[in-house]
Amino acid sequence: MGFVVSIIGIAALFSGCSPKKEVGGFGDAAEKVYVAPGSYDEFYAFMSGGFSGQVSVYGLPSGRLFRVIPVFSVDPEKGYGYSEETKPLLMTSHGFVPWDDAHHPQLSVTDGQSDGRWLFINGNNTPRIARMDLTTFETVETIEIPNSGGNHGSPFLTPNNEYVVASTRFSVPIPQQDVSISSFKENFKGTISFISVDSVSGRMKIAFQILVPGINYDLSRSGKGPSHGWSFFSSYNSEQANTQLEVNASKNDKDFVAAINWKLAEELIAQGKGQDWTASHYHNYMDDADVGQSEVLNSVKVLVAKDHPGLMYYLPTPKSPHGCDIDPSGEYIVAGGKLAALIPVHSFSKFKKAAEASDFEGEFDGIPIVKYESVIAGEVKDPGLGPLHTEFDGQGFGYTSMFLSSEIVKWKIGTWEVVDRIPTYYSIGHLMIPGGDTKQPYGKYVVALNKITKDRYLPTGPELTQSAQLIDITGDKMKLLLDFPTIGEPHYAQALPATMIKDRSVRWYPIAENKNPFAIKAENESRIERDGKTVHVYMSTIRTHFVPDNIEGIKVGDKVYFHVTNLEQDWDVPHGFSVMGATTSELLVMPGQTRTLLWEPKMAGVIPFYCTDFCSALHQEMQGWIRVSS
Amino acid sequence: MNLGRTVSRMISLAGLLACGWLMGGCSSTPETDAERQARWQQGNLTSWEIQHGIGPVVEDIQLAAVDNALAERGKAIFVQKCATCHYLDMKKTGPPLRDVTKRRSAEYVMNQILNPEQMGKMHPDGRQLVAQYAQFMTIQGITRDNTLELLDFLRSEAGNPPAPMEQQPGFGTPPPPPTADAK
Ligand SMILES: [Cu+2]
Repeated sequence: MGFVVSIIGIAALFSGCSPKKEVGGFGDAAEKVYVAPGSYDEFYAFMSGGFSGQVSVYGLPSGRLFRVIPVFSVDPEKGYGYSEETKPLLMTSHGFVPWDDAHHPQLSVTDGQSDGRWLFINGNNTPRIARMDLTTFETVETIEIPNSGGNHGSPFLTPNNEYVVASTRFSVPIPQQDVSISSFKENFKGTISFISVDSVSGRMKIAFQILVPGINYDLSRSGKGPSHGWSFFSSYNSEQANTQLEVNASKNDKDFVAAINWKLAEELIAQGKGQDWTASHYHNYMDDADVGQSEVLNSVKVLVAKDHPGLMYYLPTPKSPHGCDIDPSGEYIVAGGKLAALIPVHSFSKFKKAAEASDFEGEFDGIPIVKYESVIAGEVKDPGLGPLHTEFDGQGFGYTSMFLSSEIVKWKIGTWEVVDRIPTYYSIGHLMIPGGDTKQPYGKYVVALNKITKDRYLPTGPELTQSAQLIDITGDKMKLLLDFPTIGEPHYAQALPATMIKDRSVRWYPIAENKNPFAIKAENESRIERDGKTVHVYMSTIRTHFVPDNIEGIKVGDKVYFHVTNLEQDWDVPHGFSVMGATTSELLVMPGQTRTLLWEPKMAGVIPFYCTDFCSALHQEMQGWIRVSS
Repeated sequence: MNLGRTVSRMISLAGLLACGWLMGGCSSTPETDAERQARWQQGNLTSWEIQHGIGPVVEDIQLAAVDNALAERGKAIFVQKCATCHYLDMKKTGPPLRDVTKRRSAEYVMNQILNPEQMGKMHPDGRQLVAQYAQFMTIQGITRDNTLELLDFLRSEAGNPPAPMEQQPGFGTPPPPPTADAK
């Protein structure tokens, strides 16, 4: 407790010295983050938008925001989730769900290294996984995860994009049923899902699910090197409490890291050991014509963990662990016990030996618990308060975020001694080192992803921006370089060298290859077609006009589809399209692309439409009218 | 050129001179955009550039007689990519083009199509057109071979009498849709 007191003492000291000068930072920090006008950043950083349901793209070291990629949330800026082409991406078995809580971006990997092809992220609330294409920075696929009560521990990739791994955060009755909540122990279960990723197209499919004991599964990493073929999940609430969890789920000294042998699971599935469970779920993807498609799938293969010896083990882990991270060698499994006074590090080789020797201290709901002493490689003692997540620099050090004491602690792999610490402002959750979860981290920086910024920025009412902090890790001492505001909650982030993506970035879509069934390839193909009460307007757009720009013959009660094709073949010239009173949003149409707006006129009159994206000196003239008759 | 006919090319004296002066002896490194921009700011456009435009075409182009097959291909490109902004006989987003090959050299037309931004910013006539039409010509992914096809189409139209609006290539303002009760 002496430590807590001293922390409070330091806090008091801080608030005592006012007016406060820069907290953190050092002399030549500005030089280290300065990216001259017209120059490029060294890294792309992809940050989760947390409860904004989006991903934001920043440059490092400048901290400049480049783009927000809408994933699970509709985005009027880009017409995402409003256009007929993109609406299907937000379909679920619960209907159209235009929001989610997106937590853990994960870059695709080949041989355990980022390959710059795709970015995955989870939807926590309505369990989903999304895939973004990094040539276009657009969401191209979403898949719903059935039999899940909250998709937090995901998406964590196996070393060659074989699987996206996803665990259920909240256990629930699986399959769902109407039971008393107090029957948690008998009826509630968790699942761990392995979603296969096609190595060419990236297309996802739920390969199998594993039914596991009903506790909370929090975060995960997949093994690599010697631990390839395994996935590890931190878990808590081994008490299986169902009320007042802040008390009742923190009683046990140790919870678990769950280890799953997915190679064995693959074999069991191949042997036909998977049960076919009815589980309706949506799979949504942009097809070859760049049009969103939804398919409903009705079953999944399920393996019941306790029926298959060797498939799953529990590693005792103090206390209420949150993060679960694997070092670059693949030997060490680091769990951040958020209520623990130490950071436990498990050894994969010791675990394997113990599992083979059945060196167990008991079992939990049919799953063997390996002896703590037999798997623990070491403990980082007195690291700080509230250890959460660990990333690695590739130089033999781990960096762990400390939520309660708001700091990053650097420790040495092998000796487990703390070698450096730096304050963060404030309440750091995840932290990120470019490539910090891969076999060969790029090192150089650690980014702190903070929940609170009290007094760091100009106030903006009751809610202040959340923030990221860039810290130099090239020397013995960590040095704070920069903090910058972020969108939503920057929950977790990943980064890779800009060169891996930059030159493959798509500049425009060749109009000749536009396969949208409503596309037009030239202005003289523009036309209006009526089919009963449905009207299709095949519209072209180019600097600085629409064709057609006078539309008559529309009636109140019609369903009018504006299929807008942008005929430009030049970089950075999207056009917008908006109609007065439309209840959706504008469309933003990339060069060579077609997007469709549905409009249902409610009253007679003449309604203007215009381009929303400034395109030229005659942008203001880029407009037209629709006559609506009753 | 895989265009079914020969396009002979000669490096003109002016071109040679310009080239030598610019790049210190016609080395293989082409002038960068920034270098060209700097030269333009110093008022150093060559007379060849004034006459034939600024862009990737730096040599004289000798055109043979109009080839109908090429002109047909040129018309298709015109309809798809040029007619968004040009009629032959009246102003649209850009100027009418029926007689452009009479007003301008082949090299100039090619450079205008292939390098519209620098033509609009750095060439005196290009600047004047941008001022008049309030916009730059757009890049439409037209290749150098395409420009030769377009030239043959435009040459085949040059000197013909003006056509009515609905006969302009690419003209396609759609008719109003039938009323709701029509179906
Ligand atoms: Cu526009």
